[in-house]
Amino acid sequence: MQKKLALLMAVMVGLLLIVGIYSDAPSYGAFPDRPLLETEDNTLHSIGLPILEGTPQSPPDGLGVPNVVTGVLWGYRAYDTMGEATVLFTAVVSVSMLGSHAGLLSICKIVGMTAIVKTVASLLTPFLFLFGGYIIFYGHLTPGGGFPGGVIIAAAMVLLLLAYGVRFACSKIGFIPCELGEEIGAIMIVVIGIGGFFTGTYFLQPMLYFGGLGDLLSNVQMILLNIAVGLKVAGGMLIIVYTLISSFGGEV
Amino acid sequence: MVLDFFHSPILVIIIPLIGGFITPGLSLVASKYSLTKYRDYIVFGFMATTFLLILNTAIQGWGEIYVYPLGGWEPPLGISVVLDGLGVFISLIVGSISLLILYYSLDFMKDKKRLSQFYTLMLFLIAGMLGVSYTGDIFNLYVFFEIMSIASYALIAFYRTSDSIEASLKYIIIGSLGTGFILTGIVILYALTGTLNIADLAVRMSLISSEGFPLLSLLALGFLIVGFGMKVGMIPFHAWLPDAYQGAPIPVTTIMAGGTGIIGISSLLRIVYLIYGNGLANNLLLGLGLLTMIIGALLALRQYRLKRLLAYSSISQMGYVLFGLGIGNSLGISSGLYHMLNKAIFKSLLFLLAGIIITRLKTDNMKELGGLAKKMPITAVFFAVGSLALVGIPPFNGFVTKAGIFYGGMQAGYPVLSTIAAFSATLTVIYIIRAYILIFLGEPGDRVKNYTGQNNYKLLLPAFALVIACIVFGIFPGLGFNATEAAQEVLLNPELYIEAVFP
Amino acid sequence: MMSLNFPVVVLLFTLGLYCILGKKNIIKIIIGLSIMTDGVHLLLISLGYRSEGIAPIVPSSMLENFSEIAGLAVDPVPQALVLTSIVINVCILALALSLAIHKFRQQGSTNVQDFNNLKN
Repeated sequence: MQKKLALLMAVMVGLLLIVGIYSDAPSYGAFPDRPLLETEDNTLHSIGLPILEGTPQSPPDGLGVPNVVTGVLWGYRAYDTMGEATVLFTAVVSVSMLGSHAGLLSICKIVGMTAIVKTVASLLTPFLFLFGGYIIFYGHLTPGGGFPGGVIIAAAMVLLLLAYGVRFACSKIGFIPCELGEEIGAIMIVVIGIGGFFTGTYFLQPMLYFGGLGDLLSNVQMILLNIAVGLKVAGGMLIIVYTLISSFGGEV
Repeated sequence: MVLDFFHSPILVIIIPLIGGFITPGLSLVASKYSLTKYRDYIVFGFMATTFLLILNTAIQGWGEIYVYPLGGWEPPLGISVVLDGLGVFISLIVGSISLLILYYSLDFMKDKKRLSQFYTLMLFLIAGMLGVSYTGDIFNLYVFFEIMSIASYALIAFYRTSDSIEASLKYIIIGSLGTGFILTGIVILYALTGTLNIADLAVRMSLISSEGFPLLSLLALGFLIVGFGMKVGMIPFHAWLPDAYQGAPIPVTTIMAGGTGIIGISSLLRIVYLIYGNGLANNLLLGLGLLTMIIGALLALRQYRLKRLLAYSSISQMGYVLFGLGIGNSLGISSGLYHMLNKAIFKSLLFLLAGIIITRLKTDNMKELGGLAKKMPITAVFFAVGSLALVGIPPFNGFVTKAGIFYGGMQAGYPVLSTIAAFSATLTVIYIIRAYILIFLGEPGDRVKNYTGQNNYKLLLPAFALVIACIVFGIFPGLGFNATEAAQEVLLNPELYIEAVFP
Repeated sequence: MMSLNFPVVVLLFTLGLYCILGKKNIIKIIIGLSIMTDGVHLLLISLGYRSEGIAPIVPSSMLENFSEIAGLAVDPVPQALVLTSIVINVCILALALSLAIHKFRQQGSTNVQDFNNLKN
């Protein structure tokens, strides 16, 4: 009975949604036009269009970076990204509050896999770290940035953990370095933001430009922010993984 | 106190965030040298600084709308912090309640474990609430709402007992469904208008709706109302709220009753009144408010757990706020906003006193209590003040706003609904008097007979501050109406807001 | 050309909502939450699509006359929003799952109908 009711409600919401989308939303592929906003004298576009035009321009008109998505993330909507980093920090603190780590690590049963897996993992891990670092450092030029780079580094550690066991992984990068990395990353974001008070005028104001469009050092602030978030994400993800494994049972 | 006004709106949000970021590291150091007491004081210091900054911002920016474009990007493209009357009013409530609660938890939580995480999450909860009340961008509102929500999900589970984990699990499911709906609403608004700034949304929405609102925009409104309704515990979506309030530590319960619910309603208000304009959703808000206040009060009648009773009473009071805001004329809206302030004051007072009673007697079952008035006279008097304010007896603060809501309803032409609302006020009298008799009067139970203990004045001090607030706002109702005037003006005249953002 | 994006969005949203409202297993409910928000993310990312559009990154061949990108690329704003939203939902998922594991340890059940300690 409850299931039928749930199905009915879900289908009703879905029907309303699909009718609404097909009648009023812009059709697929119609960017930058918004059909409902066209009047005789002027047409209003999505805010993505001026951002696309502006971002690659040299500062102070734009950010001077070729990757517009990173430009939106760390330029126009940097405050959101700081909020998102805070959400991650909150989740990490919450998960580590729910599981009491460290003490239970000794009863974990992950002891690693066979020699083949261990060899492959030890060969792969340095390259994964390198790749993660590349993604972080070139986040403003090519697809990538702090979040994916940090996750790749955390995934490299998880590969080591699965291959060699949790105690080995913890001996390489334990709880304390992870927490430190997370905290340093978070504070770095805020400090760079407050730096805007002095060099620019506003919080999170872009600063520190060297070189032209497409150079690695074209926007140093964005590299620093990406490094900060990379540290934060790598540390945070590792803390979540360690805590879930160590305090909620160690059988994998 | 004289701080440059220019940056202070953003500092209000940044300072508790920095506090939250450094608290875990600070705790590591502090526990190594067994100085955890000073860690707590530092956290309180962060909150006190935030409160002073809020006061500074409110005094200097009173009555005008201040726009702070983050990163120097002009409003439609970048995110901007917009400090309007509503934001200032809400941040004042949230800031002062949080300050009192953090002071209370310094003593209340002092012998608990995992305090570093508690204070970190508490600061994030406060930062999230302040961020939501100051923001001028709808997606940023969602992000800060999530900071607030995740912190509160975790704080409810702080004791890690079976009860609190269950409460947190219920809240996380319903709350995430709610925030998912809010996200859906925001995405649909972006689909329709191609912008995220609230003022820009208002401009573009008025263009779209010149020949009636299209179906999709109504759908977005529906998603937003249901989503925020789930987060504040409106009646059809209230199931998580009593459980969450019962399972959480008392400081968290108090901050949720006095803070997060208000934030949910104020965000809903911003969207309903600024983007969609006055008049579209009023009847819906009126109906939901009426339902919420009556069913909340009826459910409160049959509770024997003190925290649960107060939780249902909280739902019922939220109904009055919604009803007042749904009336849509200036008296109704300002009374509704003022009732938010009053609700925050007397509900926090009652929850803080409940916390004192529960820690002393180790139970919140009212059947086992009774006759406490002789053992804890100060608590009894304070509880009486809180109850009278909740009921709305003249010298205390609840009276003015409830009367304002009824008169506003009469003025706007809802005599029948206002009378029903007045009837539900009598239900309030019944349940709170019943609770008072069960706890403080009558035959003492075994626990009460065996109870010997001293008053802890550190815990009673925040309650005393709230008692004073109850009396002050009751005797000088003009104070509250002055405070809500700017907020009410912004809600009724979105042009003011739009002109401030796009000069 | 008929695109499948919007029907798939609605399908995901409906399935997720049904999972949350109708299922009894807490893990399935959490999976439903994830599916529902993924539907919303797909909707958001589809809204920014331009027919035959390229990624909003100036390629190295276009660095000299980068203003052409505005006529070619898809909307960058939804991509940034989706990135933010995905991280937020990962956080909620991690917290919800750890709560569910905790509850399972305490109660030995994943059925939400057994979670009624607080009802007295």
